[in-house]
Amino acid sequence: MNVIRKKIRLWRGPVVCGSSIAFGLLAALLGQGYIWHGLAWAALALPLLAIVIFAWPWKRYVRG
Amino acid sequence: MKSTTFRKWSWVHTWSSLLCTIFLLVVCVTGLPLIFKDEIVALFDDGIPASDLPADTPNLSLDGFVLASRNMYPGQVIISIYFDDDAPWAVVTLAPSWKDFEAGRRAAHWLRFDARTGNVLKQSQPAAEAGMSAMGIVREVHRSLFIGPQGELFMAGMAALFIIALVSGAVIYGPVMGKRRFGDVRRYRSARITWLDLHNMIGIITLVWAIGVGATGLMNDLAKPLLAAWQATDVASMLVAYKGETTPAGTELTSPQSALETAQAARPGMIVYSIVFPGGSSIGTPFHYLVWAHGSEPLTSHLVIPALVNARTGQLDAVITMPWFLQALQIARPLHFGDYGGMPMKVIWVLLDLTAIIILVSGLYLWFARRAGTARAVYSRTDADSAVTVVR
Repeated sequence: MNVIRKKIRLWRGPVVCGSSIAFGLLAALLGQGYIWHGLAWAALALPLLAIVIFAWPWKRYVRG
Repeated sequence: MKSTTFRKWSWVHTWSSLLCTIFLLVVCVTGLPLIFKDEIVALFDDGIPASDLPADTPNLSLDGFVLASRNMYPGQVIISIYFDDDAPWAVVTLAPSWKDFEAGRRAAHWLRFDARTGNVLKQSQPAAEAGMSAMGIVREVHRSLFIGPQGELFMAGMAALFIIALVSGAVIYGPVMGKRRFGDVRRYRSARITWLDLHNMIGIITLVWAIGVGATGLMNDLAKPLLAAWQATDVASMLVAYKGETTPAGTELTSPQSALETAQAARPGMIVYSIVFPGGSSIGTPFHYLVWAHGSEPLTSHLVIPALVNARTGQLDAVITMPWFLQALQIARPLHFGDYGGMPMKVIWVLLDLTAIIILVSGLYLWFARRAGTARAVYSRTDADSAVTVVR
């Protein structure tokens, strides 16, 4: 159980970011109009936002 | 994961990445201006703007553009007419002869008409005289490193290595992270460890985008040889019935406008965007108008369907169904360019491209830092051994 929980903790973020990118690419390709394109932009911007948050140089870190 | 399995995957990741990194850096850097190619080309376009007319103004007959082009360049042959999806333009491509055109296409030049008024907006010089534009140079470097078809195949190999590097990177991501959380960047450790964590974090977040762009890049590189193979087999077998016939002379040609209407009637709902004239064999057939159309729905707008209209009789000879792999290629193609979702999407594409550059450069740094670290460790071990020897 503990192993599964650790795996979920490690892979939850990548799966969310990957799904967001896949949705964004397809929404922009197949969708029409500002609603679909707006959703596509938001979905593609989400992983970039995650990178900025995790790579933020002044972020407080917890040892260990 | 067993340590031997991990070591094997790690070896695959290291070497598949190292072999393609420099070429991928070239592709990523040249890809940046290509994302904005339409805006850059429009910025330096010195042609006359199209007339400001209502959006529903119909296009003029193709026959008018053909006549005007022949009057301007008597003795030359018309290769094709192309309608721009985003501008009210009809672009007529001409060459001194089909033989000259097929010898390298650098003899071709074009006339840009306003499709609604027939006014000439711009004329190009043949590429052989005008030389290549800056964007043309960037595109050629991006596509084939200026080596031609062999370069495209080489870049397809690099794209395949890139995909292997991405998949192997995803396989070793779990064991490398160990018990740590997603997104954990250890800033309190050495620079190498910090960059390793950044490399892993950015790589796993953008994995789906990188696989998509890499796979579609691979498909684009293989498109030409696949299309040529299809033309040499399936299309050639369609033309067996015309063996022994001669290419129709200019006076024998039926009206291109009626050829366009015939093709359009056979495929209602499709939008004709190009018509290739009879005479050549590299981009058309010697006996037909090759009429290219795409769908009007979001999905079908990327799917092209060619039709052959007999250039002597004006009859529809065939609507060609492309094999599945060429259809898949057409649909997936835009996913490589990031230019199908407006300006915000282009900006996001640039940022994603920059993250790919960070991953590539950090990967190189990690490899060099590790080698330097190993060398230092061996050196200090040798030093320690010497010291022990001296004490003894």
